[in-house]
Amino acid sequence: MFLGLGLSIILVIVAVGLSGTLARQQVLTTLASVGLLVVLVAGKVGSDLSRAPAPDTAVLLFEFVAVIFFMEASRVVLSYDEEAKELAGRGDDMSQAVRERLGKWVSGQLSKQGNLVAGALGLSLVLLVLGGFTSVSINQLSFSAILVLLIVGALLFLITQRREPETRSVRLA
Amino acid sequence: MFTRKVTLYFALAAILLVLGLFLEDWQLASMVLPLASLFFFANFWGLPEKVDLETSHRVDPADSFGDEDIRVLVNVSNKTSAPLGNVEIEEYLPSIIKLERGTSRALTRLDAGEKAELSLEFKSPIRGHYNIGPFVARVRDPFGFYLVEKRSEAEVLSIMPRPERIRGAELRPRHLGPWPGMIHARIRGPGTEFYSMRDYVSGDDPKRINWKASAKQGHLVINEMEAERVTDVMIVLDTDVSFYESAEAELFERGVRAAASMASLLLKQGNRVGLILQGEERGVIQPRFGKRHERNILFLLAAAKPGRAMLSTSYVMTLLAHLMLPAMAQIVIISPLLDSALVGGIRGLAATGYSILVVSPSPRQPVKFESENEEIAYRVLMLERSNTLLALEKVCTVAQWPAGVPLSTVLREVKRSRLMIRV
Repeated sequence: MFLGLGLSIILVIVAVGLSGTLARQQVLTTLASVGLLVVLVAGKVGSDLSRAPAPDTAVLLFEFVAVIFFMEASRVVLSYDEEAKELAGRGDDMSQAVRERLGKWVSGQLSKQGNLVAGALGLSLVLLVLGGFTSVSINQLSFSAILVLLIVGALLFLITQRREPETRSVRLA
Repeated sequence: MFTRKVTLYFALAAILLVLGLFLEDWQLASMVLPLASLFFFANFWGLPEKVDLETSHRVDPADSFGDEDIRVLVNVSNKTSAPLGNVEIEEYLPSIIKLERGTSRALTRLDAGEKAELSLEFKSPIRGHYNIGPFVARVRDPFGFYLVEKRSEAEVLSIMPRPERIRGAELRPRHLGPWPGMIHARIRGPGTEFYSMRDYVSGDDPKRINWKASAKQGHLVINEMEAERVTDVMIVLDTDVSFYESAEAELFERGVRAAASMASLLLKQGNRVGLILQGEERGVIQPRFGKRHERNILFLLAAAKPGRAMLSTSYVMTLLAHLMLPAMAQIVIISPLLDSALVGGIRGLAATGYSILVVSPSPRQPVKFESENEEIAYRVLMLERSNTLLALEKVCTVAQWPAGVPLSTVLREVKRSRLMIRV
């Protein structure tokens, strides 16, 4: 019964994603990708609750990163498609110049996204391996929670200090 | 600044962490790692720390008579030392504008120091003012987590009514300026119209000798001409045509065209011309001379829209005429005369000595009436208009302008009887 339900959910996600791609509806493709993310996380939670054997961490991370990459890549491709559709049938030099720039943009975007996602996956795996070498002696949940929150805080501080408020001052009239 | 997307990813990371801690599942919590790594890479390699963009956009021509294509030139320069891979350029255009060439939105990559020049073209829209812009350049990292935006303010495209080449009506105001012009001054002076005759005195130009009259009187007689001067004119455009909804736009546009044509002609003749736009939207331009002033008048006329006047046209006209015009100057009122309340104001102005010319575009009769009531309403309206015209003809000069007749023809017929002749 559970397998049947899972299969029907996947079929619905595939149908939504395909219809979004064919109809060039960014909302539908994003919905399908978010659905996949939810299925991935819910599946992991379900396996925890049912005490099922855990999947390989590297595979799990790869699936997770792949879903994010395809979600972002679909947005880029659909944006490209939308712009190209607007320019379709226009042979003037102005439209031609925009079309050339659009081609460069889409190839650059996809390759850069691919590189960043591959880099992120690689760094995650390296950190996991590094984490495996060390172990925390205090096995308390509160201690772990504080540690994680500190790391998240540090990450936010790092990113915020680089982007804010400098970017706000760039916004000119 | 951060985008909404990054907030959603942060939320996802937080959910994964909470779930991982709650279920004591470190595999689940480790899914935060790719997200954190993605933020890190997108931040450090996705977008330079400081983004320096130089943007400009120009509308060419910024004002037009509506018979040429409009071009918008957009420039974006990357002054950053690193390339920007995800740049979105967007020019906001009014929905009425349909592009013929180019596009209002472009996605591009800008290398370090590269300058992107884009242009778009569209057919001139109908008369009016249009905001072209604002022009926005947005720079994001490849995932759209961070955004730097640069904005240029909107430019105004003005499509003005084209003045027709018309011949002037014979205006006879009593107030005249000191400079030579085209208005008959009812005094002797240099001019083209015959004024009177007098005995020849030594020094007179022999070309002005009236040989026929000299032969009759037995001594030399010369012709004297009527001086021609400039005057101050205030054009009042009554934009309240709401009584006549079926052909409101056509009637209104004729009024605007007449105002533009008369203002242009009177300014070319050297007069000081002002404009009062009276209706739902009001506007006033003081009487002045010159080509630039003509542009100002046409610019105001470009913004004219038909609509119900909140203040009485008579009141506005009387008040502004007294404030901005010298006594006994000329007032040209362009109105379809669908509101009889105008008569009182015109009568008052005429009583104070202003010379008034009313140019009244006649409403076109509908080809077919929807109902008998509509036909009766139309006939009553026209009857009231006829009464208004009759009442006005007693106090000022009135020129009816039927649809399909050139304005020039109508104005040529306008001749006012001379009030007095000094000899």
